[in-house]
Amino acid sequence: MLAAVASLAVSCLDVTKVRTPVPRSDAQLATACEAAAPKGPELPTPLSISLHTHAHSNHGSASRPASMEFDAFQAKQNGVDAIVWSEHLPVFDQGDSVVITPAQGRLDPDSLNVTGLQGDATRLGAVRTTRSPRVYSTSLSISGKMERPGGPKRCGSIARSPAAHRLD
Amino acid sequence: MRLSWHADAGDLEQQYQIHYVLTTNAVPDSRSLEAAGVVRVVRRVASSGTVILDLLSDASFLPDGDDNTVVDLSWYVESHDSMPHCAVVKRVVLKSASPSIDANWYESQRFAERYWERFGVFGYIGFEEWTPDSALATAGFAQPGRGGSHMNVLLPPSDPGPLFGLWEIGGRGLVRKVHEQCGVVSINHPFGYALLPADTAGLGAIQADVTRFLLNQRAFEADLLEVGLPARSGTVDQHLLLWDRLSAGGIRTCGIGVTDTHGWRWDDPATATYTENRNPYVTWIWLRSTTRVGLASALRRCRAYFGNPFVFHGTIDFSIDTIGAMGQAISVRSDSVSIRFAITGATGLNLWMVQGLVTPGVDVQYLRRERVADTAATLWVDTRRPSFVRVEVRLPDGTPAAFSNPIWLAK
Repeated sequence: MLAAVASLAVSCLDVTKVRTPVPRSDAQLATACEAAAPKGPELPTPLSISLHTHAHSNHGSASRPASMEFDAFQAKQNGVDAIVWSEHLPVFDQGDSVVITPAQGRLDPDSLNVTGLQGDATRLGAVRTTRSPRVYSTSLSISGKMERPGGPKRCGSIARSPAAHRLD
Repeated sequence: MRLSWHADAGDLEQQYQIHYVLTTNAVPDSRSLEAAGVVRVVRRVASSGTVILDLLSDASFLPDGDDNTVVDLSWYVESHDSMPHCAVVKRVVLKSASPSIDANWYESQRFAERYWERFGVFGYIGFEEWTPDSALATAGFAQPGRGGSHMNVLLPPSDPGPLFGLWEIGGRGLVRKVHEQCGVVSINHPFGYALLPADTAGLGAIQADVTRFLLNQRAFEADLLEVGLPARSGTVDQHLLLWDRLSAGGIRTCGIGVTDTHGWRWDDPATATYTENRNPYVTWIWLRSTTRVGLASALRRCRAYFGNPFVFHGTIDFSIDTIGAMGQAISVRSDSVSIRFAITGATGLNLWMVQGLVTPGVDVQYLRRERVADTAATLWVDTRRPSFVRVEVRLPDGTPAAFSNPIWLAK
């Protein structure tokens, strides 16, 4: 009797007999998902959908960086029934502020414009670390005073050049 | 400060702007419309220190002012006494009033609902992720966005909760996690996001690399592949060939057509004078329900076809006896089956049937590629070997118009 109990105890402790769940294949996952999906007949007409659409993550890749309103209007004008907005994922994470330090610009001595400033405020993911889109406030840290003539000409005016056009 | 483009009242496409006038003069603060789409904000500021501007509040003077991004920022110093002056801007800090993922996700949902009510256009919020996995990085596909390094995700839940588990995952890992949540994933612009260059000499080698890579990776088991993409490092026909090679390799991906628009007008490249839209493709989907769950399900089941909506205005579907339909993978015991087409709106267009064998190797062996005269025809196809069958609709000169998804016929 004691031997039988001991044997049972050892058996229970035998980790080789512990069953680990077998991961379901993607096909099995799909089947399970479909079980919970809508049933019944299809709608009588198919929906035309713009499946890969950007608005707030436009990062200057088009001449008319869109609002969602602009996209929706364009869709309606051309009989497109639906839009799937596929913003770059970092668009939704606005935790980090974007800091532009205008320290490395190039001065055009004729116009006194400064371009090519470092610091991409688009936060659009062309470079992963430069996140941005919906920015709601900005602060300008201004020091120095209105200078008298003879002051540093590089301060004449500053313009940030638009982001290079990229697509993705 | 230049913001996003809008289409107020339907006939005025313009870029919103906020003009800030920051002055040390003793003037009252004010905010007014300087012109349609332009807010003028006058603020008295000290000669030094920090100036905080509330962009959201100021943009709210404009219709849909909350639906904006900062596109461009420039500033100037203006002298009113004929003397040179200078301002030193030490830094500009752009800070969000709604930094959380949840808040921004829900805001996008609100915008989509607002425009559904206004325009009757259904809006779904998905996202594009471009964290490459090690295979993509090793292949050098991350930077040019090739081979699945950019993937779009649509999840059934409307809340942002699942996003937290999908951050900065790419390749097979992302696909698997999305499938665990009943979502669908697409491989975007497989040959890269770059526009089709004038000199296409180097594209063949790139496309061959991508094809081998996706075959080896089994396309990460992604659900969808951007095929209807006329001007992204390959033509539609080159994308079709990639797609067929995957099908021939036993890798089933649902073809879709997309714009990947970042803000341009939907116009017909064939006729418009303003034509930034080189990818005017859409995907038509046979839905059971317009809910997010319904959309994800229809895409997963591949009940879709795609094309250029300026060229094709009809519908595409087909079925095999009673056992299968466009987009499905079915097993066939018999040596042949009949395919019944149900295609509308193809007047003046040519209909083609394409059948390719599912066989190992990089090349595709096409059993048939033939014109079909009748859009409601019933055709017999050989099913003695595994194959896939799909339909093409083209202009008489061969210009692509619309494409069905295949039916994959296994033994």
